Amino acid sequence: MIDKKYLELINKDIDKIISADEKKALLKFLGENPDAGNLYNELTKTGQMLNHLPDREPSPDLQSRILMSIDHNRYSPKNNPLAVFGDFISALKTKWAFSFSFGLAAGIVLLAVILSVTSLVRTSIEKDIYGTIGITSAEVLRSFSSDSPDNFFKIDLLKVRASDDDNHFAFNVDITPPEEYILELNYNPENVIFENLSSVKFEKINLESTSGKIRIFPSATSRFSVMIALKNTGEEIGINLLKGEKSVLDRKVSLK
Amino acid sequence: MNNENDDQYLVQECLNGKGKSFEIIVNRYYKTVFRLADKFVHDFDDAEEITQSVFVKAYENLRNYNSKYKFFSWLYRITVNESINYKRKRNKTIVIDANMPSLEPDAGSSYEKNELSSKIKDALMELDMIYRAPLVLKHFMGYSYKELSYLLDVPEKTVKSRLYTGRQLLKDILLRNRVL
Repeated sequence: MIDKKYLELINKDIDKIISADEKKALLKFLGENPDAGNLYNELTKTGQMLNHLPDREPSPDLQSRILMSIDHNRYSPKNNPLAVFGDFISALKTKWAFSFSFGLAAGIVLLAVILSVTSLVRTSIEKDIYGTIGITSAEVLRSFSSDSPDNFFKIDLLKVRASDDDNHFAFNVDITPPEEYILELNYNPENVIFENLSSVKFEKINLESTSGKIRIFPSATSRFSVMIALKNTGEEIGINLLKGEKSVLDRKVSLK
Repeated sequence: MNNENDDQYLVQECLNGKGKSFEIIVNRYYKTVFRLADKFVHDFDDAEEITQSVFVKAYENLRNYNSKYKFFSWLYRITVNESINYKRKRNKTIVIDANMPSLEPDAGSSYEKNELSSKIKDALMELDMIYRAPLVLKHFMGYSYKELSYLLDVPEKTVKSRLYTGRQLLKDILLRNRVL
């Protein structure tokens, strides 16, 4: 049995925080106690092995998957009216800021008028995408819904402006009760990339190189979004919503 | 230092609604968080899921971040907790593919190296998380006892005791498996 004091010195030595005096005392002890010497060697080697374990690299798309799973609007000033109001009040503390704020307020009123006029001529509706980020705007292209006593679902197909490119779409799905449904999307795997599937249980079936199917089991959540990025616009995607074995919605939509 | 090298500045910018700032943080730390999680759970897919979850949690709780501590320490603390919780939630069975092709003979030394690493990782997995966590953080991240105390949320004395016991237990497993 090795004295606790020397066990601590061995560990301090492995952790490289041993002082010169302590090291001297340890070496003297190890020289006089061969069993302790063996233990020292084994523990040191264990430490060295841990130090040299190689690292693995994550998948190249991990970073984008992380960013896709964050709600980027969480800290957006528009979601925090109190903060905006607070900033406004503090801005009023100086004369210059007052003039600036007055100009800003006038600008906002003007912008509001322009926006309200614009909304009169727009037929599309802007929507949020459940659980995604970096979305600057999204407009509904098609809607499929049923609120019959047997089936309650709403699927919106949205055109999404997520980044610089123009080829992002999303399906906003609202289903009750979710565990009874399976959503099948038929697509061309060569041109279609699914992006934020981490929030739902799903399986992918590639039937041929140009024909794939993804089956989504929305058992955990009644509202979710499926983001799609296209290599080329004009792709066609088949939507098949199954309740048990029965198809309650079977459509093809063109993504343009 | 009000620039993009300063994590705390980026956090503040993010809280002010500049989402781009968090992208810089993700870019800066996602690989390290992944590697740390990988050492904790020794499973590539699980480590990626943990990494994703760490950043989502960090983002959602950004207002709770205490700037007294370094941002990455806070992030690693979340990684430790997520790894512990993940393993609790999921007792995964690891299937070993017996039909996996053997390596070419000239890859022998690399194979031996991989095999040794794999044995050490397997031995680590045999340790309870209370011992594995300080060992991983100490040997892979080089943290001091004080920093470990913050990351693991236990007193320094407990850190030392777990580190020493963990090392001893790991040594016994490696001896038993004829790795040492």
